[in-house]
Amino acid sequence: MTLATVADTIEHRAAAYAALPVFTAFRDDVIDVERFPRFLKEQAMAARWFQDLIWALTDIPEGPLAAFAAAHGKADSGHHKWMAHDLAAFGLGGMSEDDWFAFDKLHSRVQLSRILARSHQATDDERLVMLCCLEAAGEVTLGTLNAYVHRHGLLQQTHYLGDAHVRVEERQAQAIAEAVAPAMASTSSDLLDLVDLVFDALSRMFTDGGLRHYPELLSPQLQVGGAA
Amino acid sequence: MSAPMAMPVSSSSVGVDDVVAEVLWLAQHRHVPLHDVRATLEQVRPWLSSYAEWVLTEDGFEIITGGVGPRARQAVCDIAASAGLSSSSVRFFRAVAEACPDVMVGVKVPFTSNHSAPTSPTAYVRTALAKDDARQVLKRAAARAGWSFQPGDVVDEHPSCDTLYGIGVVDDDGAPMLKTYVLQEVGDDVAFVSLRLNAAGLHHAHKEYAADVEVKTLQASPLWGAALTWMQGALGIDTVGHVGREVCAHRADRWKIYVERIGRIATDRSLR
Repeated sequence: MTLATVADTIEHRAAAYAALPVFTAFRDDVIDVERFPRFLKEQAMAARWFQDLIWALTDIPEGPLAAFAAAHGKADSGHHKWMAHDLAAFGLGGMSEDDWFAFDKLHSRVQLSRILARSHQATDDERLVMLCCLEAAGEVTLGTLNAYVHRHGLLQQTHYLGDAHVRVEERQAQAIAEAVAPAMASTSSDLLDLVDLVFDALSRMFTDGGLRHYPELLSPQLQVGGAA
Repeated sequence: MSAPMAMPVSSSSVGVDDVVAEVLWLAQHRHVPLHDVRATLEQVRPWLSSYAEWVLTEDGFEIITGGVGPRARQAVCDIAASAGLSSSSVRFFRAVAEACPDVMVGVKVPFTSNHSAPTSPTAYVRTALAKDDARQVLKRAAARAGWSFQPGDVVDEHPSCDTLYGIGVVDDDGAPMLKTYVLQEVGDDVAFVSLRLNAAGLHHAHKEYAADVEVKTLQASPLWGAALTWMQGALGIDTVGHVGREVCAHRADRWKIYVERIGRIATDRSLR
């Protein structure tokens, strides 16, 4: 018998991530337009964290992956700034210190920190495997929310969830997978642990965030891991 | 498949309708409510052509089915969850199954006339994992399922085990319990042995499986009712795939008789 590769595992974990109750709720329009903006300030916080994650995971100054990493880092920089426009468009104002650092969002910062901390001393392959996981999850997150704003006529109010962002992100996970093809074909338990780490952190963050922002709509028993 | 499964081989002349009829006969004669059985049959029916097995238990019977691939994986999750397997155990199964993508997965659904008997389904992955790989797969699956205990070291509890031939998960008093299957010496023979592990540690009972047992050697007793006679007479079954004996220091041994109807398990020794 064969064991699942890193690529297989990213695919499995991304599918489980897509099945999290919060994403299912968006896909099924359980979350109505009035409730929709509740999570946007936390998204602004997370988007800024993702910028750090991308910078850290593309910090490959030399070697065969350096050029690819630099190009990816450049293409994926500055997107968080679009959130300022989105917050204003939805009438939410700017980010306050509490919006960044309030206790109720500590859980999200912890999960993001788990990923950021692991980038320290990561090998080049490990960085790009983690980045591939982020991008695979990002396709789910952005894809789900972009489809939602399309369906509900909110496209004009958002840059971060808009089509331009979707186009930038398209095929990024695939491009990373091609750049580190041997690692993606590996069954190394160290690399598989990294995949688990990233998806576990993101799944916990979105599950917890969903329950905080939409407690009346999301079932509490589906916490942590959801349909994983 | 409670004894570990193999890839299904369609060599049997028995069809899905035959298996359904047999299961309904079992329900009637083992005094199990037909409504429950029919509901499960409806759910498992699409998979019976891949693999179908039923098991005589001391106070009822069990249905086992399964298949290979992502659809089978999802079906096992759905069937097991419908039959009451906890979400934590389903997540563990899914993680193991995804880590071993090209092997058969299966589900066993029990039916009993004894209202105090355990009724948790079991979800299985028919692995052939080297010890170190097994440890990693178990560790990662437990983490993904949010288990409070680390099951990877259970492989060391199997003496002289070099391959894990199956991983199962069941609920015991509502909490996940791991089942492992290895080939090891039992008396003068080599047979599958299953250990069970939960948060409290290694379970006090283990299970041994004798393979390819002739029905005529099984003692007719009130325990099996008319089932043995029916198996031999109406179904023409002379040999059963496995006889399982659950060994526990605190009580009498418990027995099960495993009868494959569609698909085939390789014999114990051929797996080595």
